[in-house]
Amino acid sequence: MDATPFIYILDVFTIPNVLAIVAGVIAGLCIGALPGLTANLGVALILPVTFSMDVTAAMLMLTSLYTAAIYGGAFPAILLHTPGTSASAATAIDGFVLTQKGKFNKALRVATFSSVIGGIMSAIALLFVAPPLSLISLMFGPSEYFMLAVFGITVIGTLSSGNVTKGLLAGLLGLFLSTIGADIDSGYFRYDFGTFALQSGINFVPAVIGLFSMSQALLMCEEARKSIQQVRLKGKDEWRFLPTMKELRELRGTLARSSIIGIFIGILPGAGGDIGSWVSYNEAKRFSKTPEKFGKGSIEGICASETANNAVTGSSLIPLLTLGIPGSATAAILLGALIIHGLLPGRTLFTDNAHITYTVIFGFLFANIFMGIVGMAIGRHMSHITRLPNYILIPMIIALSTVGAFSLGNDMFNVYTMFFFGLLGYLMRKSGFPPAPLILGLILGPIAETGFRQSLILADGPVVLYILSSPISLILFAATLLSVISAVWMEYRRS
Amino acid sequence: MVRVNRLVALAILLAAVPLWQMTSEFPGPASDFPKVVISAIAILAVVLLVRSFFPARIGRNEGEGSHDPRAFLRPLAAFATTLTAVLFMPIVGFFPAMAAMSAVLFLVLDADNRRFYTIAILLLLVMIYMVFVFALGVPLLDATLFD
Repeated sequence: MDATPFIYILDVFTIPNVLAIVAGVIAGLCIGALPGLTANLGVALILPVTFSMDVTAAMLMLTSLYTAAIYGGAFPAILLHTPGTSASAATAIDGFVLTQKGKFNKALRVATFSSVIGGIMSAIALLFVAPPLSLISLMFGPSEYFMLAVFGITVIGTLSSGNVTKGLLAGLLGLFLSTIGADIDSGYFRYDFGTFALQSGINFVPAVIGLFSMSQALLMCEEARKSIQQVRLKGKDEWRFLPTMKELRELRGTLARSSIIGIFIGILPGAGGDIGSWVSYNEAKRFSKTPEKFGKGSIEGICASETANNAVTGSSLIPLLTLGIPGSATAAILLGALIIHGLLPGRTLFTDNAHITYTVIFGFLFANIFMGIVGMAIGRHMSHITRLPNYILIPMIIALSTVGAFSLGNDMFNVYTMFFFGLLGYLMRKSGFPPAPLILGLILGPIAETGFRQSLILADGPVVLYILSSPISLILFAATLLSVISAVWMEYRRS
Repeated sequence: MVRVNRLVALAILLAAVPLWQMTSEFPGPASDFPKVVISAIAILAVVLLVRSFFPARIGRNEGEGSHDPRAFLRPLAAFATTLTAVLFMPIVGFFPAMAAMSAVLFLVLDADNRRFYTIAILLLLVMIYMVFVFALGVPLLDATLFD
């Protein structure tokens, strides 16, 4: 028997890796539990802390934070009827009804168990689906990489906003910003406006921190004194670590179905945990023997939402690790983190860097279990954290964003960049432009430009015909067209 | 939002013209990709502009937060405060600048619990020192005012 998987598992339990997972899970739980703070913000804020870390520990910390933040959103959803993240909105429907009935422990243990199962299933999917899928990346040439970047930006652009035009414009703005700095071939400084600091291009990390963290702090300023009123937890609901056998029998179908739904939706580029949880909630209601209980404290409803949103986390890493196309906005930031730590998505992650990749996947699996243990231990008390008023959180986010941007090369220009993107992100979010496509455009810009320029050189005639002459490019082009047409159609129907 | 969309579209189109002109200075293939991207941006800006004349066709989910123009005041005041602190940071040092920023933000954000706020900020600064300076070795800026 091949002993390699055991070596990877043992590597998860080295002191730096375990500490990274513990820190990621605790930070994720706190960030997820704070309404308004998202997994994107958490990963963006923690990213600078990982610069000096070993790449495996860094990726373990970030992925642990991601899954724990999604789970952490369930606490305020259940205890305060205020979803911590958008992915927990469906959980609030039945979770808070149970809290009002004094059965908050039951709601918390179902949410915890479901999140852990969803997370584990997605880690298993990541383990078995990603390596064979990465073989596809070996068939990619310049035209395929160009179309892949176009496809990724288009899908995120069309799905992350209610307005297709604005989503695509944001993605294109990211692509344009990626052209700032020295040209890859000639070394000519493009759009540097005579500024020395712009000659090396726009750094992705301060842009991410500004767009997701600083802009969130500015949005929160609009309701600076807002804090959530505590709900008195009453009743003698028995605390249990695991669901009862009766509960498990009731939930087993929902657990399986919601895991599959979450994994499938996570693989789709751009579709995040919120879509997964709502689709899963609706399906659970459709398949339930007692659909009338939904909305009145159904544990199937909580289970469906929480299983799916955590199943999305691992599976959204599948297209990220194999093709470099993130399955969610948070995965887009993780793509930047991978590149910063010197790793490139594709087959090499599963061959040359297999040690790192598999240790991270096994560590992600362990993080989901650890997240459940910590969550059940402190779940009831999380309502205290969720009540921190915005005026406390705002200076915290601003200070951490500033120090995080500065720590990247100890350069004040990165702080100014972060502030620029913070204001830009705030104005974008106020006017309905999603920031996620911009970040993806910024990350994928160099890949898209390299592919485009190499295609120009290789094309014996019109470059468009050359790009579309490859079957993979043609499929990607069709998928791009389909995503735009379907999004425009849905928008038309809504209006 | 219709007016905002129109303004944004016009601003993008206006910015696209000089940016396009700048690409003509780039040597050879260095201008190809920026030209493609700027063209696509301009086309979408025209779409946004045209659609702003048909409000019924504008999708939902148009912007986060309050739509009251007065809602901009506090975020912009907070941004100005923070930016001022950052600009003075190389002179007064990181921690004094952050402490001063937090003190002004207390007023800007109309906070009501001074003791809780002070303790939270102190804990935050200690945490930043422990994590970034002590553990990660980030040399946060010292004051140069008296150098």
